Amino acid sequence: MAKSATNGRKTAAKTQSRVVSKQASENFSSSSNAKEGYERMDEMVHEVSRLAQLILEAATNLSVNSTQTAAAVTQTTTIVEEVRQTVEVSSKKAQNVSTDARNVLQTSELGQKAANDVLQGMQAIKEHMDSLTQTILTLRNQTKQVGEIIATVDDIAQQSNLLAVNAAIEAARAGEQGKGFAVVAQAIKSLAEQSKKSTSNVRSILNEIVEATASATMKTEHGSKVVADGEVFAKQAGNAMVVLADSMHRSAQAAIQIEASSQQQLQGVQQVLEAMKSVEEASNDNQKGAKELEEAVTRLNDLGGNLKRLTERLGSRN
Amino acid sequence: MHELLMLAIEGTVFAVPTSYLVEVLPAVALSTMPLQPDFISGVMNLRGEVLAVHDMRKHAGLAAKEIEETDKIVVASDGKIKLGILVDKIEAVQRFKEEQLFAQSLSPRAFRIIELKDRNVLIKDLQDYLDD
Repeated sequence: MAKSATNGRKTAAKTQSRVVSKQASENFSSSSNAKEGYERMDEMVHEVSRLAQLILEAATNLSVNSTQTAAAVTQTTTIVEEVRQTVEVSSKKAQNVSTDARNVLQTSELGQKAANDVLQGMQAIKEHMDSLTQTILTLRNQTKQVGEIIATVDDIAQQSNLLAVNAAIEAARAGEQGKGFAVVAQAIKSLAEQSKKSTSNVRSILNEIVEATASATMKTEHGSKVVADGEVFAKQAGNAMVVLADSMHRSAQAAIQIEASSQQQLQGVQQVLEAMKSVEEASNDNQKGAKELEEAVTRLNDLGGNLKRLTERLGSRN
Repeated sequence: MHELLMLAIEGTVFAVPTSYLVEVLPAVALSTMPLQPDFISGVMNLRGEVLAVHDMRKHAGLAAKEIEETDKIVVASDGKIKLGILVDKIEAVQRFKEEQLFAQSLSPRAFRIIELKDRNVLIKDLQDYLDD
């Protein structure tokens, strides 16, 4: 509003000054009457004074406006500085996040490797378990064979026993001459009994072995099941690790991009801040200029007043 | 001096004097005869000789039982006829002195003697055997 008013006044002042100069040239050409000349001069001085007043008003407005602008610029600079600080903080944070994301990425890669190792370990255990099962099966078969051999020995012992009894009967029938033979028969019988006792011992040990083997078979079967479960779990863990590593990778990429753009943002804000500082300087210069203009115009106004008084005095003397 | 073959039927001990004995065989499958007496398990062929096989379980008053692989047949003779005696288990031929048998006969759990008489098997208490 102030600007349009100033423009209006300027236009008015231009038109009037043109009229005045035209009148003055007419008047000076016919310099017959001095009084008339003074009157014209008086009018011109009035006009100058009036124009000086107008310029003073405009200069005052300009000074006020430039002061307001300077204040606004200072405020904006302060805000931009605050924004810069915030951006710097967030840039640092983005850097931290990016570093963390890189570390996490490495860790997740290690985790993936560990899960793979676990899976391989489980497979090795499984192979060992299979081999163990095979060994126990072989042991069971061999135990069975030993059992068969014992049965044969047992049978032989029984036949020996019967043979001894029959020998004893023959010896008894021979009477006195058979006495020596009876002793032999007795010896055969005791041998048969010893064999029987031994086979009985071996059989009981064998039974223990059979029981132990059955228990071992059951345990290896259970172990195999547990190992199979473990393998499944390890596979699941591995898959989870892969998914995790994938999302970690994406997160890390995003963090790196955020870091870069945050850096750019910081640079941009810094440039804005510098520009604002330049604007502030310019605005300060403007303010100073307006003040100087105002002072100059005040002096011009005073000068106009003095001139007016002088012409009035000159006019009254004539 | 008494020479006796000790044998067992369901834990009960019997003895056969060796004077009656021919031989001891592992049990074999027996052939049954029509109208055979209750105490006869069946007949067997011993190298061409046909023998009646007595079931010692029946003679001892025990419940009958199928013949098992571990059973034995004691072949005995009184000099005139031969017969088989089906038993569970053979222990051994043992020699006893008269006084040992006497001492044994006083025990309430004394073994009994199996003798052959009139083509039949006879169970005697040890005391009666010693008295004869």
